[in-house]
Parts: sequence; C-alpha cells; structure tokens
Amino acid sequence: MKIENTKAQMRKGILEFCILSILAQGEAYPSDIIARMKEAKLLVVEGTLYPLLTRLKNAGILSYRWEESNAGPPRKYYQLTELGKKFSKELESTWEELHTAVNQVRNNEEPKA
Amino acid sequence: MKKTISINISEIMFNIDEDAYHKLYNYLKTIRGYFSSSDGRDEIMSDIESRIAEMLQPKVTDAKQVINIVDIDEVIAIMGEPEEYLDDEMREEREQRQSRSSRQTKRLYRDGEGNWLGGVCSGVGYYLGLDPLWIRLLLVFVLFASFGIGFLVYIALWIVIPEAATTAEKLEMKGEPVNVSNIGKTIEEELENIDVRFDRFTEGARNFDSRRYSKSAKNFFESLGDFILKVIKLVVQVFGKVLGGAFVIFGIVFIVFFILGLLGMSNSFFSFQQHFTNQELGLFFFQYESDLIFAAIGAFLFFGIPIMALIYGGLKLLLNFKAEFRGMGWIAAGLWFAGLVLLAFSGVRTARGFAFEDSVSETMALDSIPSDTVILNLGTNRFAKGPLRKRHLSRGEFVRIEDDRALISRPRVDIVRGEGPDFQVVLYRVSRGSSLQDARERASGIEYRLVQDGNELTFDRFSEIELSDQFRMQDLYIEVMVPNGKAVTLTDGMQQLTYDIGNVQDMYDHRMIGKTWTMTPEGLSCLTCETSD
Repeated sequence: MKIENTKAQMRKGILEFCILSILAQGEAYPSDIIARMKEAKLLVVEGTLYPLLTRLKNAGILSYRWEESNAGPPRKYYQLTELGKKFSKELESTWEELHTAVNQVRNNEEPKA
Repeated sequence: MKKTISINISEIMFNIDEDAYHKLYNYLKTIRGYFSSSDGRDEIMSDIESRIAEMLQPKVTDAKQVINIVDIDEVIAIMGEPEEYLDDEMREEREQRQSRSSRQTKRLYRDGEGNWLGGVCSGVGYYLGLDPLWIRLLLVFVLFASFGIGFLVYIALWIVIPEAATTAEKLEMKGEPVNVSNIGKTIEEELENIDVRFDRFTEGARNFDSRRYSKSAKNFFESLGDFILKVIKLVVQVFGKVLGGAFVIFGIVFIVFFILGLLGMSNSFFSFQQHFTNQELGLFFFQYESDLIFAAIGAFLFFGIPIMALIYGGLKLLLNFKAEFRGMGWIAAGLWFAGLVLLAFSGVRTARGFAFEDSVSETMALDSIPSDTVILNLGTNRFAKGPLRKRHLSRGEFVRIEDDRALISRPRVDIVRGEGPDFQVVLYRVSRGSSLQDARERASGIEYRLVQDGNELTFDRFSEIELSDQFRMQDLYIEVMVPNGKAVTLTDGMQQLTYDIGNVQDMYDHRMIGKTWTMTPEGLSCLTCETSD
C-alpha cells in the first residue's frame, strides 16, 4: 500500500468541496479563495487552483464576471451557479455523514441522535 | 550588463532579463503541455498568466525596472512546480495517457541539438548507435555517387523524420526510458516554435553575430521544415481516412455478395449456379446434407471474419475511434478457426465420398454392320435451344436439365484395334465413391446414348446421370474397336469427343476429320489422304 495514494484518495474531492463552500459564503476572486485555503492549510501552491476552477466552470457549477482593477489586469470574480448551490448543499451533507461515520468508527462513539 | 526582453503577460508589459525570460517561458510551456484543449487549456493558461502578472507588477519599481530570475523563482515558488498543478484526478488521467504512449524502445528522430544541418545524420547516428561522423561521411559519399540526387533523399528524410523536440522525445531518440512528463505536440506549439525561433533569427540579424545568425536561420528553416512535416502528416491522415473508407466499402460489398451467393440469390460467384440453385448444388455434391450446412457456415466464417476485420479496421481509420472491446480479437480468431474446422470437417467427410474409383465396362450390342467401314458421327446438341445454346461442356462442368437429370462431361472416344472379326464398341463407365462397391454402383448409373443406323454410329455429346446419383467425378470412355483391314470414317464434330487418336501418320485429331482410316498392323492409317498431307 502506497501512503501517497491513500493520502491522495483522501484529499480527492475535498479541494472542490472547499472551493464550493467558500463560494457559498459569497463571491470571491481566485486570490481570495487561495488565501482562505492557505490559511486553513489546505493548499500549498496556487497553481493547483486554476485548472480546478476552470473545470468547475466548464461543468456549470461556477460562473464568473470580470472586474476591472486599477492596479493591474482585470480579474475574474467567481460565484456559484444554481447547480453549484445544489451541489454544495449535497456535498455538505455528505461531508457531515462521513465526518460522523469516521469519528464513530475511530472513537467507538455512540451515533448522535 | 545584461540583455532584456520585452514581454506581454496578460496585456501588461514587462521588461525581463533574458535568462529569466527563458525560465518563465519554459515554465509556462511545461504547464501548458499538461492540459489538453478539452481541459480548457487556454482559459487556464490565461488565468495563470493573469495571476503571474499580478504578482510581478509589484516587483517593478523605478529602482529596479526589470524582472529578474529571482523574481521568477519567487513566482514559481508561490504558484508551484508544474507537476503540482495537476490535482489527483488529472494526474491519474495523465499517467494513464502517458503509460499508453511512453515506450522504451529507441525511435528515429532528428537531433535538434547536435545537428549540422537538419539533424538527420545525428538522429540516425543515435538510432544506430554510431558516431554521426560516420553517417555524415556516408552521406557525403552518397551525394557524390548519386550526383547530388542523394541530396533530395536527405531533404525527404529531413521532412519525414520528426525532430526530437520534447524532453521525452529526446530521451526516446537516445533510447533511454521515458519517465519525464510527455508533452503533447500541437500545431499551435509548432507555430509558437517558429515564432520564437524567428525572433531569435531577427535578433541575430540585428546583432550582426554571424554565427548566431546562421544558427538562427538554420533554426528558422528547421521549424519551417517541421511545419511542412505537419502538413504532410495531415495529408497522410486524410489519406488514411480515404483508405479506411475504401476498406469499409469493399468489405461490405464482399460480404453482401457472399451472403447472397450462399442463399442462392446471386449468380456472380459460382458459374454452375446458372443451372442449379445452391441448395441443389449442395445436395448434389455433398455426401451428407449436414455437410452442406457445415461447409456453408464454415466458408462464411473462414472468409467472412477476415473481411469483417478489414471493415472494422477501415472504420477505425475512417472514424478515428479507439474503442476496442477486450477480447474481440480472440473471439474473432476463435470464430475464424471454427470456420476453418467446419470447412475441414465437411471437406474431409465429403472427400471420403470420392475416395474410391472404379469402373464398369459394357460391350455394346451392335447390329451387324453391312460394310467394312463404319462412320462415326457426333449427335446433335439436344440442348441447343435455351440457355445451353452454343454451350461447350468442358470436362468437369456439369449442367442440369429437367428436374432429375444432370449432364456431366463428355465421353472420350478412342479408336483401337479389335481382336475379333467384327466392329465392337465398349463403354467404360468410371465413377468415384465411398467404397469400391459404391463407386461401381454410381458408375453403372451413367447413362449414354449411342445410335446405330446401318454402318453409322452416332455418339451423344454428353453422358447423363440422375441428380440423386450425385456428382462423383463420373466419366465415360468409349473404345471403338476396329479389326485389322476394316476402316472408320470420322465426320465433323467427332474431334470434340476424341483425344489424340493414335495413327500412323501421326496426325492431329482435327486433321483426321473427313478422312477414312483403316486399321493396319501398325495402327490406324489414313486411306483417303493425299500423299502430300
């Protein structure tokens, strides 16, 4: 068993979920998203984000609008689409379920009522 | 003092050190190579460049007006190494793509780095494991020997052999295992390449550095050559599509005709279908009815499977789809082999019906002949009317008439010396069968008509059997026995039935017609020939 593979398996999907969660709280620039994720130690390098954002946009989960900025090139301002909102909610509940299940297994906790 | 280059990142202009420029350029190019256009590559790249521009802007001040390599390093540190750009899902996809395409064998490329002219000699040198110097010597020698025509060959090779441009290809050229990221080549990249090299070329012109100049010029033409190569590849792909289409059409036509033929609806395949339906043909020929079915299925599989493989290959070429059902090749091979087995099986069983050959002889009872000369005539073609008009039945061809009879072959007539005092005609009926007795029984089923009118004998053109007797290579030999001193006359038409009748004058059969021949102790001798014959 390769530890890297397992770690990767664990991380899969979480990045996307986090992006959706951040955007569920409001529109944001990519750099904002990156900053939040770095704060939470989810992301180490920025480069990972851009392909992800584009993929989510192509799948119709995100949309963006351009905003001019005086101090540089125009920037994309991302937001969730209706589909994205739906996805986000579903992922949230899945996350909750997983979280509960894993904790129970680890700690032999009683399931919360 | 260093040289700077002016670049545009995301519509913002920067001045950047030359070495920093190359680093940034390669960085972006590597990242670009990771994505295919389906991933939204262009958009990703523009997002990345926009972010990089954002990061670089603060680094330019009045005191430091140029982006240097340290800045680029910082940018890369923040953005991440190219490999880190891939999230795990894309990394898997890429690895899958890579493992499919990476090979460890050595491939023939043109060497873009150690080259003198087009890198042909260098690349060939790598491929063969020889020092390119020897290849170049060989080339010079060939050029001399071919009066310069060899140069055209060199140009052709230059165009056809691709240049090892990516790191992966360079490794492949040298025969080392590929474990570095493989960058997909696109025409866009090639054009970019040309742009970059053209820039270098014009730079070189401006700087009047003659060595750089020639190398840049060379690079420019090389890129042009690569572009031409791309065009040629495109043409070949188109040709491949055309070929694929041809395969498909040909294959389908073949199968259609084959099926129609098997069902007895088409005449094009077997000539005896003009007189039999395929069903009857089968029953006529095969020992057992089941053999007919086996053979039909076997033939369909044996011929059809390769044809269908052809169609499939053609479709693949045409439509460029890569779908391959696992095991389909095995199934096809298995079916084909089954067809072969079926054919063999039915063939062997049928052959057993032909294993033995036997004959029955019959001495025909002739009325007494009033003369010493017998005239041999060929009977009329009873089947002159209808589809058999002008039909010459060659040996082995068989034809059906009415519902239950079949014509087979011509009898062969020979004229030999008779022992007794009278003319005699002996019929030898020959047939094959599954045993000697079976052969004999079938032989006796051969029917033949010989009509005597005084001293005239009229031979029928064909012998007949009943359809139910089946085709078993039946044959009929007729011997006309002529005693010494008596004679025969051959009339026109008999040459169709005779086959090299031995005679003293050693004349060909068709020359023997119309003459009278008398039997002598030496053999048949011409009676009515002029001596000059």
